[in-house]
Amino acid sequence: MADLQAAPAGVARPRPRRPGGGVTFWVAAGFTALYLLVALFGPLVVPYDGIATSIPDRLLPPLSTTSTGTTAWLGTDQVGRDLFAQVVQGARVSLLVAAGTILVGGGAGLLLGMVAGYFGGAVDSVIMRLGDIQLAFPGILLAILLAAVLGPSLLNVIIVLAVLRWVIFARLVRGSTLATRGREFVDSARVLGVGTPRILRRYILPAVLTPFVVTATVQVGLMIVAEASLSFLGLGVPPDTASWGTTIANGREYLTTAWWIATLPGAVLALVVLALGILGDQMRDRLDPKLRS
Amino acid sequence: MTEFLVRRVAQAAFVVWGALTITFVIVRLVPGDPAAMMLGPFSDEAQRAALRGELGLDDSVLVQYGHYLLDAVQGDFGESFRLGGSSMDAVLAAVPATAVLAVAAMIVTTLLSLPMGIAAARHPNGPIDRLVSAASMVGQALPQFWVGIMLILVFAGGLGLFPTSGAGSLRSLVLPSAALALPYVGWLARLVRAGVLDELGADYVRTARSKGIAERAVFYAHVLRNALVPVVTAGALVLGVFLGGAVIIEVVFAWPGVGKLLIDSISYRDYAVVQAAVVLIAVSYAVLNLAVDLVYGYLDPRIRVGGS
Repeated sequence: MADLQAAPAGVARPRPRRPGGGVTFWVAAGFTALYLLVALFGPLVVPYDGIATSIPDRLLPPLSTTSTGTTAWLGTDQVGRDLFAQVVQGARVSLLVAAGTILVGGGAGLLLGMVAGYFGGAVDSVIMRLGDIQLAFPGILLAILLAAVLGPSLLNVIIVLAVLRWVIFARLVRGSTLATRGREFVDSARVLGVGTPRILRRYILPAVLTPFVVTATVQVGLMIVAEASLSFLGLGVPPDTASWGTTIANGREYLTTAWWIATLPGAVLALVVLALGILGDQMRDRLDPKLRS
Repeated sequence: MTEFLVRRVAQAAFVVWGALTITFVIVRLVPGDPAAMMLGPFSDEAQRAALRGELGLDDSVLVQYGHYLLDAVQGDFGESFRLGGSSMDAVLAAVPATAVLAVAAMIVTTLLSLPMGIAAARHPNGPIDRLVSAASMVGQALPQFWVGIMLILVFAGGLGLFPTSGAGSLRSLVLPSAALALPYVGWLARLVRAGVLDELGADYVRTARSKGIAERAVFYAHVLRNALVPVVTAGALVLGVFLGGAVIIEVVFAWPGVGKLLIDSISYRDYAVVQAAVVLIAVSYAVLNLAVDLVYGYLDPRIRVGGS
């Protein structure tokens, strides 16, 4: 009875579309594209000088005109540096960190996950138990501890976040590898004498890549938050680098006199992360219905 | 049940050992001579050498690791050179403040997310359901420390309703616990919603309805009770996240808990306290996870029989 009802319903039922889902997707995609453009080219157009100060222009509210006649769209900070230029520079720093982490941590997770899933046995056990221990350790604590020991620098933030995130990717990739390993086309390739590295590259990798890209999109957003949090604590990028986290930390001292310094970079950050989250969710729905929660 | 218990306790012990080892390895990565750091710039080489011998830094790494594990099991992580006295005592003194904050945040999260999740499940795709979806999305995008600063800006600075920092009164607890809780409200509400919707489709619900039991009774007596089992687990995990995540919020609100002590000790390079704090949080995290599994195994017998 239940089977009779379920079978046709599962095939014929059109996919439920959320109202406005298409618009949300394009807005999120557009905003993400804008973020990428600003991060890549923004600092060329709006240069930021970390050590230049301009005392007459200090703590100007948004949309004021500075002493040099330019408009400070987002206002200025306590030493007269333009906040808009800082936010633009911060976009580049956050993108650098996120891309570096995906490259290092995601790459390591991809490799280890494929190896663990394909070979199984002792290799699998060692890699996955290592991941279990790490996940049982509160992530933020590991990040703080590692960042404190390594010292503040852009490269160190990438190392810290890569160490923190490889497990997420390794688990995901291992799962997809396990699912693909037993498929007929992999078996036939093995029977035909295709070497293991080639099987991993040509047959397993393409199947693993879609969920990997979807997860990476969402992780970029989380990484941006993590970078800002570490920088806020003084454990991320060096204090003279304009990161969203350092700017917010700096504005914390001037909350009552200059609300914009802490507020605006955080709002931009939240919008970027929100756009990336929506994009990741919608990509998952479109590319890989199996992953939907 | 005994086998399940033994297996889970062994796993927790393994995790604690892992946390101790990770901490040992990371702290040994610190560049520079700890003895020189502790004695300050006006010490001579003889003093440093004496302290190194006293701290056991001249032994091989393996011997140091052995001593470290033996001491750690007894809760001894050395003396805090900044605060004087045992580093573990300093951390333990800060625990109540963190626990109060985490529990308050947990209460806020539960009080908001339970009714929201239930309302969302009763009318899927209704306005409350969409609000819950949006809240979960936005909650994950907002950096917690920035939420804290915005709360200070609006409620402490602008409206002057609550103190900006410090602990001591119930009023000073409101903003930090709200900042800690808000990003997780939507997330937990969605879990409640998913749990309720799952149970609503179960056979026993159809049976109850066909017997003519009132819809309210079906919902509250049958569906909700079963739907809350996974939510209890998630709730306890959130509490664990709050214990760890309190670090940043404690810094933002100058809340005198373990997290603030940890960050302060890092800036003073007081690694004895850093180790004690990290290990204590990691152990309470592991114990919490263990407790959740045991409660879960009690609530849902399928777990202890078929669990892997």
